[in-house]
Amino acid sequence: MKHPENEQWMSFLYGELAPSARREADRHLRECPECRQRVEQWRATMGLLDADHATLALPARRERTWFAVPAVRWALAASVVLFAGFAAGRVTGVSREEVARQIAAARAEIATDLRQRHEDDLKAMAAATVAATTEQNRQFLAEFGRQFNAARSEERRDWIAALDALNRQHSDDLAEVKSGLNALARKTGAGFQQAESQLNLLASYLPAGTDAGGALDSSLSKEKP
Amino acid sequence: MTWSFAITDEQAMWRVQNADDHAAFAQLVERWEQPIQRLCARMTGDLHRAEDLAQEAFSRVFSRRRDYQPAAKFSTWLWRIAINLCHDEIRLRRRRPEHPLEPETEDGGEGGAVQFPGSGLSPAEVVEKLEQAEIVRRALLQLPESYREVVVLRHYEGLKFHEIADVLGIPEGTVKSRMFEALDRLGGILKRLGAAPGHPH
Ligand SMILES: [Zn+2]
Repeated sequence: MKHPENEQWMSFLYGELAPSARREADRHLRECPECRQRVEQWRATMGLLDADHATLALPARRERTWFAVPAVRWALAASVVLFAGFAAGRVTGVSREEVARQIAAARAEIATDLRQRHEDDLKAMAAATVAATTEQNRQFLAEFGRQFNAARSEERRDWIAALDALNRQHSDDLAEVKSGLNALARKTGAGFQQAESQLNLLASYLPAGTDAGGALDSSLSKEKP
Repeated sequence: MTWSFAITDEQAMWRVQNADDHAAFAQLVERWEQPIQRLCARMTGDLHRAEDLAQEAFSRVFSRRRDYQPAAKFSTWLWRIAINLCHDEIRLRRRRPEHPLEPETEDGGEGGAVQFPGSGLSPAEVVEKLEQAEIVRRALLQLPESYREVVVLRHYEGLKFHEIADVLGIPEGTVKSRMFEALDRLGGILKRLGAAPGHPH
């Protein structure tokens, strides 16, 4: 007797067999004690696994603050520390230079991190754009070929114009990505403009008016001497 | 912004990708938070950490929104991101043995609570069920990750074998062979842990 493969039994046990294959497997089970025993054993284990179905109670939902977004959490932590630094500075007389130095160090770190993220984003965007426009071109050209053959000569002029437009669009898209990357390269070392807008973007994820959001804002504004 | 009609995951993701649409993103989180949290809990054995991991998975979805291929199923991409985070977490824990892979016991913390909604079970029956569930979770954690993820996705989250193959980037046949291998191993582990042998529901 030819026994179904173990893989086949998995599809059977999880209800993924087509009706005809399922009937065949059922028939085999009735006739084959060897397979029946194996399948029963798997079924028993599956039954035991079900004990965990009802019991996995998940933690009560926390307020969604997006503090878990790594950059947010950490920009926030940095800004809270900085804010505390300012407060402490006023009270204990820690030198303004020392606080400024700490701020500069922390911000440089944040900026590096954010620049890296931004650069990754742009690279991904470049890849996606190339992929998308290639696919778009492929589809367009296929359609173009079909219709071009069917078209009258005056219509063919329009088709050629359309093809031109598509090619222009394609190179525009690529140029845009490229200029994005170039701009990023230029900005490297040109201050915190980029980081600052990123920080503001990150801050916008925070619920408006929370203390945390406030601390972030104050750390940004107070840095300027 | 709210919509009067339901949009598909893929449509929502498209809006996130192309318009940074936060409302669409919130909708995706709403739909998928619980399944992703369950996955992370079962993979790591830590209910509380699972919550963080799920949030991190969604923050990755947002920060990598440009990588999403519109032709692909959103959930496949999301499961993959979450699974990778679980692997990272497990690797990290191996290096820091003070946080061993251990299922959480019901210690009365906010997330440890165990519920049988509307079960009408007696306290003794509840205790027995709890023990069974605890044993099952421990057994799962003893499986190699490559088997555990298949069991979690197929048995608990109800993905089809071919969908799991897409998530993990392996052939469907391999998914199925990991599944029966996992069931065989689990049978042995559960026996050793003292789960009653063979009480199919
Ligand atoms: Zn047989």
